[in-house]
Amino acid sequence: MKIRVFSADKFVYLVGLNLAILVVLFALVVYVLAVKSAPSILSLGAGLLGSVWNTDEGRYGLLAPLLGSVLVTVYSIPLIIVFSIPLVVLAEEYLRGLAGKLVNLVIDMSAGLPTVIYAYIGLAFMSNVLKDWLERPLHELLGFLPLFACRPLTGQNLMTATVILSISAVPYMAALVRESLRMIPKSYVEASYSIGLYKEEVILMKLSMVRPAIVSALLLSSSRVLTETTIVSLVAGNQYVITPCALSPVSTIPSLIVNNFGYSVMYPLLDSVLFASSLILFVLSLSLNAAGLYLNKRFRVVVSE
Amino acid sequence: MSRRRSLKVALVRVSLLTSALVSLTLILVVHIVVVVYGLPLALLNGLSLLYATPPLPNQDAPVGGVGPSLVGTLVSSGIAVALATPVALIAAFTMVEYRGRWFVDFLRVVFTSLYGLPTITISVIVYSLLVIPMRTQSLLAGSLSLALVALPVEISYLEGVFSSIPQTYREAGYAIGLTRWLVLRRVLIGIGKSGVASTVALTLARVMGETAPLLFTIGNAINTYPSSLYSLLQPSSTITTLIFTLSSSPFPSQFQFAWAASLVLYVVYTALFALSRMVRGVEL
Repeated sequence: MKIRVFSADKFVYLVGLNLAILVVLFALVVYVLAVKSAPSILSLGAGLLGSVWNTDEGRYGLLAPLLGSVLVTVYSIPLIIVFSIPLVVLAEEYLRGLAGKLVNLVIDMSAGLPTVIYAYIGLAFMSNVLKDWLERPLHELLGFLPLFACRPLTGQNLMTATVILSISAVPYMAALVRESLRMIPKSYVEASYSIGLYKEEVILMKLSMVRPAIVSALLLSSSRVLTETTIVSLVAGNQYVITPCALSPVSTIPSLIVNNFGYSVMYPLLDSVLFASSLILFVLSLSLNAAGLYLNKRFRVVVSE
Repeated sequence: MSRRRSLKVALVRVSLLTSALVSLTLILVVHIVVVVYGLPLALLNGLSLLYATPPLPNQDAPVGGVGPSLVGTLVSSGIAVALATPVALIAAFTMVEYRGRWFVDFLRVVFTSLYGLPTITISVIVYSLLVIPMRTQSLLAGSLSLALVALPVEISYLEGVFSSIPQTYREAGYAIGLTRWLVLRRVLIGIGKSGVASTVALTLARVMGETAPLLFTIGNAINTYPSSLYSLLQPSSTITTLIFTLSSSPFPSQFQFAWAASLVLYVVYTALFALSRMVRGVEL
């Protein structure tokens, strides 16, 4: 059999070409973002962080959607923790055999489920359920708190968006945490049982061992929540308001882009403002992602030692 | 043993299990709702769901199909994965083979940045790079957006596949005089065949579920089939953008029909997910 081969030298060209493709792609991304967002940053400056968004008057304050993005992300963090870690523990520690495998399968399958499905279910089904069974009661019982002071008029608001984003992020987080739990050497677990610890005590010990990995998974999940577009566009309500109330419609940076990009040519600078906002989004999500990947790598090194 | 300790253990057990069950219920509700709401519409439309066009605004009943968008989904994700896979294979090989060299660190920085690129940002970037010069949204622009999504995802999966193959296998390959190209092809891809196949299926599943990168790039042609090669340069749509469009529709028949489209997307996704599971760890 005759095999056509690349010589070792020629393969280096292939690697080089590949590097070049990736670098050019990345350079293009940075170039477009820089060139397109420069006009608005130069002419509006700090005005970009103002609180008023009014395209007719040319006032492009990004504070409201920026705050919306931050709040959605911050509020979803406790929900993601509370719902993902017990789920992993259930699948890995309490259920044996087929049941555990099934729960794990559900986790993996849901982790990659198209977000537009979550978004549509959120809009057509869950927002009404949440409004009637969670948001109205919260408003009536705890309406004296600023957090629940406003009446939930429709089911499309900050709280609904947070809940649905969290449901979509929980399986992803759970899958990441599960991988790190499985990396704990068996001997540690056996040693803990041999000194007479309860199952729950061993679970807590294992969780504290993988704490850096949990933080890393949380950073990666937050980055997903922050940049999620379809869910917020459909269930967050898309209003440019700054309010402490969690039952008010809000918008986020991605939903701002979705709602305005279509007619951005009609207003001066709007196009550039949207690019500036996507640049801000990129920087935020990149920092979360890079921190998450870095922590994850460090955790792997610690475990493998 | 102390009372406090057993109380703590019981408390941890109860709270862990309650929270896990609530969480599992919420996740299962998503799956159940898609099927329960989608199935009646799928039965109503029968097989025409797969080839007819979506209902028009003046229609009373949610009768129609997702044909053009289904083709758009298959073509755009197919092109995206076909473009991303060779680049990802070599990039992942480079990262495993030349670990510790300066250009691998550099590659990793680029890769991490692409990984952190929000999908909506990809959409606006491809819009200004391709859609504006071409003066139209197109299937091609959508496919390239998706390729940009697929690339970092695939590199990270493949790096995992390749680094799980023991280093001694690669060294054995070099020892019998194989070139790097052959080590990649015969040793890494050869041994990791099922891992690579599983990665491709998983990336396909991930990419065909994306909406945001397509919003400004692929257009909104939900009624016309791509017919020839020239259609690559014309607007198209995917099931995901179809659902997004329908869910913003004020007409009940269109809004309702999004359940049927969601069910089709769910089935396609599940099939690809199952495929990626079946080939993983199987001798190919």
